[in-house]
Amino acid sequence: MIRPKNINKGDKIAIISPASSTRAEYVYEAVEILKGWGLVPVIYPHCLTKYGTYSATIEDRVKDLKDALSDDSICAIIASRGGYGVVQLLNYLPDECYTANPKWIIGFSDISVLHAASVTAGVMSLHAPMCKHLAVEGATQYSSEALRRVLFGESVSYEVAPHNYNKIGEATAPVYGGNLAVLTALMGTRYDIFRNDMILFIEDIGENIYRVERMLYHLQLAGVFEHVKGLIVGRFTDYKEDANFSCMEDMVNAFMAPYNFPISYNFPVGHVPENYALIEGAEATLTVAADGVRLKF
Amino acid sequence: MNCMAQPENERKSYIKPHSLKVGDKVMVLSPAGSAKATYVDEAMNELRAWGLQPVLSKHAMGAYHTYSGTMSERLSDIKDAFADDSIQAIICTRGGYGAVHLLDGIAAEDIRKNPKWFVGYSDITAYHALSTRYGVMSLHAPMCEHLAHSPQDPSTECLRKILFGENVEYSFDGHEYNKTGKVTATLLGGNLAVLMGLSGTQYDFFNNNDFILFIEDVEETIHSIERMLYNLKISGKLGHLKGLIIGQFTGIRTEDNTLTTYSVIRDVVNEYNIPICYNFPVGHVKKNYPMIEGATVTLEVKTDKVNLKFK
Repeated sequence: MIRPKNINKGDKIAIISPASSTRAEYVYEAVEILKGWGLVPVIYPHCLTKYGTYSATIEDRVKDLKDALSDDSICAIIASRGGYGVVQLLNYLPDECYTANPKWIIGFSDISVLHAASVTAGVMSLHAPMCKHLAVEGATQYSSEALRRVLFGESVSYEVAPHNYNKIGEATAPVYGGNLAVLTALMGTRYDIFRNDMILFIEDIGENIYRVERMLYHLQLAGVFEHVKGLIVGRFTDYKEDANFSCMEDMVNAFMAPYNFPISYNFPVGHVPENYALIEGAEATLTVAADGVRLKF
Repeated sequence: MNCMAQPENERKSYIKPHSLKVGDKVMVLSPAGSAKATYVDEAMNELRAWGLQPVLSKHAMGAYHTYSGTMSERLSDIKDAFADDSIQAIICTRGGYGAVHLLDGIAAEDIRKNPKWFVGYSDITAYHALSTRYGVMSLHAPMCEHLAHSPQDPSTECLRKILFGENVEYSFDGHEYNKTGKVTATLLGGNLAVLMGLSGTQYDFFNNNDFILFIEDVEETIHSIERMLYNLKISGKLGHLKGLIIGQFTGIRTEDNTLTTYSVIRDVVNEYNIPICYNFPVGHVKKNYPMIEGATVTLEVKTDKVNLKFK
């Protein structure tokens, strides 16, 4: 797995909108923060445009992404936001797009599709906050700072509070994951990340408990949990309790009863202000102990 | 364990369960959500009017959270229904959610030893995928609520005909998006979200090539429908289809009112040179015509008319 080179002060970073259209003020505020880190942000031509719910047509979004990936002077790419639409671009982006000039691709949610494509091509990718987060939370917030540290090549290690359902243990493996609905929708395609041995992290938004359970059954029936060395259950937001379970963690805990790998619940990753930067494809050690959780890349 | 479908999943012909005759016993069961007595009672009266003897499975009317019973209770109901030689067919009270819990608990010999029609749709699509995996035809068709409320309608009547061994043929109006053509192939399909929840597992029937796919769904977002179709496109599975039947998509939500579900579907599938028809009467609607999973059918799509003929 190729690790994109670290970025340095003075390097250019592309800002693109490969899925839904975004609010310009988030991008402009994020530009100031990236400048504050010493970077030179470049807003791509279709970053701030609007086409239905999308930023632009499929062709225009492919063009921005391809241009940013192939430009030697661009050292990283940050998505303005997710939403929906990256899956439309995959067939236009052969593996060479990611491998010819490896660089960090930054985002989460629908951007999980790009991470899946990048790691399938053999290049690590960066599941991390995007422009709205930087604009709203600011540069000094912990998750923003974690993103900056990874980009500039500093090692990161996260300490997380214990949770009643945590399963004690330690595992070392490459980290893969992201938005569960997005990733399960790639199963059976060449972008299926679940065939790797891995520490798996999952998060989602607006999916009801039974739907997330159905996704976990999907993974189980595909034999995925035989490849999982450790599980990070991130934040599941915007769902309602149902007659079977009062919260997502109750369901996941019941589902995971047969498995013995370490599990960390309530990990700060997802559609929340605490959304730690996780390097997809990088080896990490997950230590789940009674007094807390550590994830060290 | 091999995550992908096993080679025997690529079978070309399916066992057809034997037809019913007057006096036969049929089991009514609830493999997923809990059912209401009001419509189950009426549906059983309708089955009696057909000359059948409907019997309730042990947990058919049970309730456990949103389910009819625990996983082991629901599983034992299905296994008992197949093992009981006096039962000639199985009809589900309803779908809901939960059939996926049971798949790995049902073995090939459970259903191949004594093949019987298994009737249902929506969440029951998971069972149909299992039956397809094991090479037995299965019946995507209305369940108890429909039989109770629409005992005389054409969907119900076609279900009765198929169960009693009569051939059926459906003719419907065309749709402006239709792609014309005529093809004969195996028919497979069902609820799109349920089918996609099985992709990459041994129950993924898209590893069969050369079949006619039918799809329907309810209460999804327009983007999630598109995302599921992109899975089929990216994996090359759409390219292997012989024909495509787009059923009813009801309660679909969108943030962009200029889009319709059918326009989004057309944008994804229109590049394939196969017969494609839209607005086919299958789904969470009154006109929900029975589809025999695994049957050989001839689909003829014209601009003004669509015909589906079961052999």
